[in-house]
Amino acid sequence: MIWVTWQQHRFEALIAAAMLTILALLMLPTGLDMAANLQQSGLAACIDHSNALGACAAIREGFQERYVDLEKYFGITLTALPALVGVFFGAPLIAREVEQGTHRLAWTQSVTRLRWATVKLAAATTVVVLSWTAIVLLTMWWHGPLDQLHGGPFDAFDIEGIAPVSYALFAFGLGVAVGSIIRRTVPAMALTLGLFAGLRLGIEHWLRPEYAPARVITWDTLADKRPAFQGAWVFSTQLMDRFNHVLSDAQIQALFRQAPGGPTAVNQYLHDLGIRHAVFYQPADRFWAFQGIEAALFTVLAVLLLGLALYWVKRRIV
Amino acid sequence: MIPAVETTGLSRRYGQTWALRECCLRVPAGRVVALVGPNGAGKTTLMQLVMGLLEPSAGEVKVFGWSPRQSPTLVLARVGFVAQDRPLYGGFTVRQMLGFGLRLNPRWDDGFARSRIDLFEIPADRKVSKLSGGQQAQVALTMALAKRPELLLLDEPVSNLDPLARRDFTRALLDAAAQDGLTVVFSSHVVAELERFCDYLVVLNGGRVQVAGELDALIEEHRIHTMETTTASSLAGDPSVIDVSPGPRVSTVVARKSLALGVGDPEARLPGLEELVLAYMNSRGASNLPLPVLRGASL
Repeated sequence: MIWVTWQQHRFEALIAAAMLTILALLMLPTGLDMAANLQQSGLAACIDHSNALGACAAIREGFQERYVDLEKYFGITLTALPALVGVFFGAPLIAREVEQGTHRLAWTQSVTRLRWATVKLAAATTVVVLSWTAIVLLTMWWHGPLDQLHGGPFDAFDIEGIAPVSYALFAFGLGVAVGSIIRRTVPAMALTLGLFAGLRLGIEHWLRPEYAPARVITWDTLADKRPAFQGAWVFSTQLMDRFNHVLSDAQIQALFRQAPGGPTAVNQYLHDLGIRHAVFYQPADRFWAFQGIEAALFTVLAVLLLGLALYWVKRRIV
Repeated sequence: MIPAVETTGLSRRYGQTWALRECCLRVPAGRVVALVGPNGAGKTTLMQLVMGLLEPSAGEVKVFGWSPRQSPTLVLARVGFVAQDRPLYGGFTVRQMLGFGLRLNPRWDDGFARSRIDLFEIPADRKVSKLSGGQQAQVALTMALAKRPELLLLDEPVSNLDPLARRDFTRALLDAAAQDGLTVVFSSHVVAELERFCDYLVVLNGGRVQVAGELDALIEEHRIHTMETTTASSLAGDPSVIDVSPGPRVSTVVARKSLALGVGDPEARLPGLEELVLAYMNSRGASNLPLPVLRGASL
C-alpha cells in the first residue's frame, strides 16, 4: 500500500520538494545576513544590555527598517502555506480517485477500502508533519534575530513553534474530508481553501485571545509615553473609566464632543474625569502555553476530520 | 454447492429512482453468464452491488455465501472485476500497474500477468494512457485475471472498442473462461458476440430481472413463428406470446413452446440468443420467472 501511495503521489512529492528547496534557498542567505547584521550593527549588544547603550534606539530602528519588508513577505508566505497542503494535496487525494472512477479499480483489489484509505492517510500525514517540522525549524532559525528585536516570538505566532505544523495537518485533514464528501476535485479545493481561511482566521481572531485571561495595563492620558510591552501580544487598546469599565465607541464619541478643542485639552479633560488608557495583552512568557493550546485544538480538529474521511470512505461513498 | 452470486430482493435506489428492484438471482458456480439489458437497465448497479462498491437499499447479495459489504476481505480476493470504462491509472506505466496488482493482492500471479502482457505485445514501460483502447482493455483483463479469481465480473468490457480489439478481447475472455471452475459474469448491451460462449442468461430491464436461466433450456422453451399479420394480431394478450414484430402482411411472433395455435406450425424454429433477448427487452411485461418475483410489478 505504501508503495502504491508513493507511486501515485510521486509528482506531488516532487513539487513539494522543489517548493521546499526554493524556500530554503531564499531563507538561507537572508537569514545569514540578518544574523550577521544583528552582531555587526550592535543590536545584539543593545539587547544584552537592555538598551542601556546610547545609540540603541537608532540601531533598533535601522535594523527594523532594513528587514521590515522581508519579515512581512516571509510572514505572509509562511502563514498562507498550510492552505496549499489542504488545497493541492488533501482535497484531491480521494476526490480525484472517485471523480476519475479509479476507486472502482482501487477498491476492488484484495485490500478493503478502509485499509486502503487508512494506509494512504497515515503515510500522507507522516509526510506532512515531517516536512512542516522542517519548515518550522528553518523559520525559527531565520526569524531568531527578529524575535530578539521584538523581545519574543509572539509577533510570529502563526509561523513559529508547533502551531504551524498543526495548521498544515488541519488543512490536510480538512481537504481530505471535504474531498471525500463532495467527491469533485475543483469544488473540493475551493471549499477547502474557504473553510481553512475562515476557521484558521476565526480562531485566531475570536478564540486565541481567550486562551488565558488577558492582562491589563492602564496609564494616564497625560503620560508622555506608553509603557513598553516587550514581546507581549497586544491585541486591544481601549479607554477605561475610573470604575474600570471599558468605554464604548459611542461613549468615547460623546466625550470627545463635550470636550473643549485641541488634543491636549481632550487629554486633560479625560484625565479630570479619571479616564485612562488601557491595554489588554498576553505577556511574552505565555507564548508556549498558547502554542500548545492552539496546536492541540487544530490537531484534534485534524484527527476528527481524518476520522470523518475514513468513515465516509467506508460507509458513505456507495 | 454454494452459488457464486445469490441475491434476494436486492434493490438499490438513487434518490427517488429505483436502479434495481427486488432482484432475485442465483448464479451457479462455473457458469459463464451473459447479463444483458438496455442502457440504464441496472446492469452496472447490480455489478457494483456484487463488488460491494454500492450498499443495497434493500435485500441482500451474497458472493460465495458472504456479504461483500460486511465481509469484504472474504469476497474481494476471490472476485476479479473489470469496471465499466475499464478504469486504470493513466499516469502509471504498464509495469507499475502490474506492481499495483502485485502489492494489493495476496494471490497475485505475477508470472502469468507478465507473460500475458508479453503475449499481447504491450510495451511494459509505456504509460497506460498512451496505450490503444484494445491494449488498455487487455491490461484491465490481465489485472482481473492475475488475481486468480473464482468469479470474474466484467461490466461492458468491450464497449468503445473497435471490432478487431473486440474480437481479440472476447477470444482472450473465452480462453480465460475455459479455466476450471471460473465463473464469469459478463454484461453487455450488444448480444450477438455473447452467444458463442455464455451458457446462462440474465436479462435485466427497467431495474428488474426479466429472464434468468440456462441458455440452452431457454432457447428450447421458445419458438419463432412466421404468420399472417391478421392471425398474429388475434394472438395479442395470449400469455404465451412474448413479442410480435408486425409486418405489412407477415409478422414474426416469439412465443413460448406452449403457445396453442390450433394447428401445428411446421415452420416454427428455435430462436437465437439475440432474437430471444430482443423479444423480451421489447415487451417489458414478459418474463420467464415465476410470478412472485415480479410481485408489485405494475407494468
